[in-house]
Amino acid sequence: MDLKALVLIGAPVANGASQGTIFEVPFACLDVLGATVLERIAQRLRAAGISQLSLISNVGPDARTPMEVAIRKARFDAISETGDSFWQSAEEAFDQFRQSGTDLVLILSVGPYVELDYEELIQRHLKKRCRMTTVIGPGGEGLGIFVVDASRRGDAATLFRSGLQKVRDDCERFIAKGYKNLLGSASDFRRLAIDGLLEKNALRPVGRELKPGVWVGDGAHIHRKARVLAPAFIGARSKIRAASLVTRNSVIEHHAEIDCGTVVENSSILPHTYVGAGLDVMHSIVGLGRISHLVRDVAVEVGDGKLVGASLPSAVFRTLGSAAAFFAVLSRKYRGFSILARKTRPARLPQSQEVPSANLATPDVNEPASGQAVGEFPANFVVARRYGEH
Amino acid sequence: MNLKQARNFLKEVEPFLNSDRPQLVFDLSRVQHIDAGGIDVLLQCMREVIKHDGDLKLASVSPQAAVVLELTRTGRLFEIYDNSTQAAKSFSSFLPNAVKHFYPHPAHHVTPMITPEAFVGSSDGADIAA
Repeated sequence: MDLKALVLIGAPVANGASQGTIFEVPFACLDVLGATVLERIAQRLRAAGISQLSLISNVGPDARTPMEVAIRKARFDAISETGDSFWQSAEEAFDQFRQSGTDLVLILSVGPYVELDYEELIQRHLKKRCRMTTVIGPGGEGLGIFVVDASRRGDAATLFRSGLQKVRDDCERFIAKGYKNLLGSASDFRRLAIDGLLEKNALRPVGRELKPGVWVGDGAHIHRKARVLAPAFIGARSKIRAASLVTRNSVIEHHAEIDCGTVVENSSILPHTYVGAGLDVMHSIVGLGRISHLVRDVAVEVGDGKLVGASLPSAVFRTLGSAAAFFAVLSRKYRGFSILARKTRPARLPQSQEVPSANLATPDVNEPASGQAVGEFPANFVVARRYGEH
Repeated sequence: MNLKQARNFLKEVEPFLNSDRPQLVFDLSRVQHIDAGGIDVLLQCMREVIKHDGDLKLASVSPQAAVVLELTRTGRLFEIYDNSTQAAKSFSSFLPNAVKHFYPHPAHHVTPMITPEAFVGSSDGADIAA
């Protein structure tokens, strides 16, 4: 039996937006414990005996680079990038499968991460002799996974045209009993990594377990004065500098760099991210020059490379960067060193501070102040000014 | 608040920092972005204020600024209030009893010492009141 899979990523939802993204990158394209979700899904599909994996993707320009890396690592057989014609492309890909003599097509919308026994799903579909099987959660919620007979083009078209929302009434339901994560928010993404570290799902850290609960990838450098408390993951070729602390289910992905004295607590650091020295990274996902704080539920773009930036690729660039920083310090310390250094003069006090307030009448020393009312504004709080206006 | 804006801000606020026992509130409600330069200026202000036996408090810190303050470990150095009025009132709560007699607490007085109108916006997003 010829079985092929159609993986959909970045599928537009009803309001036109895409679901499950962080920093405009789909969660499935981001690394979790050393490999992307997309890569892990592809591995599972291949292990289930699926002969060909085709990908239909729709991502914004900001997500293009991480997306391309994730797709390359997942090694799909065919890739189709679409714009507005996402569902039309999906229909065409399904039609190509049908024409090439495929028996069954597994349609999988990568949003939720579901650990499913694909062989059991296919066996069930064949046993029931139904045209389409949909996978649902225990609560009846759709998980975006369908098995469709390749000959049923009309059913597939209905499914695609409704954005995977409508299925025929006689469609078989298969309840997924394994681990699932909807990956709808940054908290879900973080939860996926934590569950992997705690072995609640099948995501195994890519690396070796140096000590119980601490996984380290190939070529990772952990300074002898740095502390890594289990459970934690340090990805391949990442650097943990001196006096830094990685604790409470933190995940440092490959090629990330944690500078001296920084504390990473209950956070995920995405690949190729530099985290500056002496910082506290807590309850956050950091990467692509941005921080998503899970407790405050806010994403902040950090433009300052000293705090959060991209890790430098080679020692040459690092040396040049250090030299530039050294000269910057010199120019600040010795003002004559730099022609740009200027001595700034303090601004004049605002006029309102120099002129006595109208509320402070001249005290009459000849008469007692028994019947006189106290001024409305106290002397120590009379000055209030708008910064930037005169 | 980047380095340039922060320096301009420091220049503007310098007279207040150098006054006797300055009691300052920085309203950061409109500061959406703050980088290492901005943090450095806040710390400089704090240092100058403490040098003159005063105090500096932050008010209405936006979530974005709060994340950066937490990230750089500077949030713990400042008293942070929900709004400027609360921050200003916190200064008056330390007045000695004799002074309180003449300047009662704003909450129990018809005419408040600090009105919310005293804290108004700025071009750089930071408000000051002394």
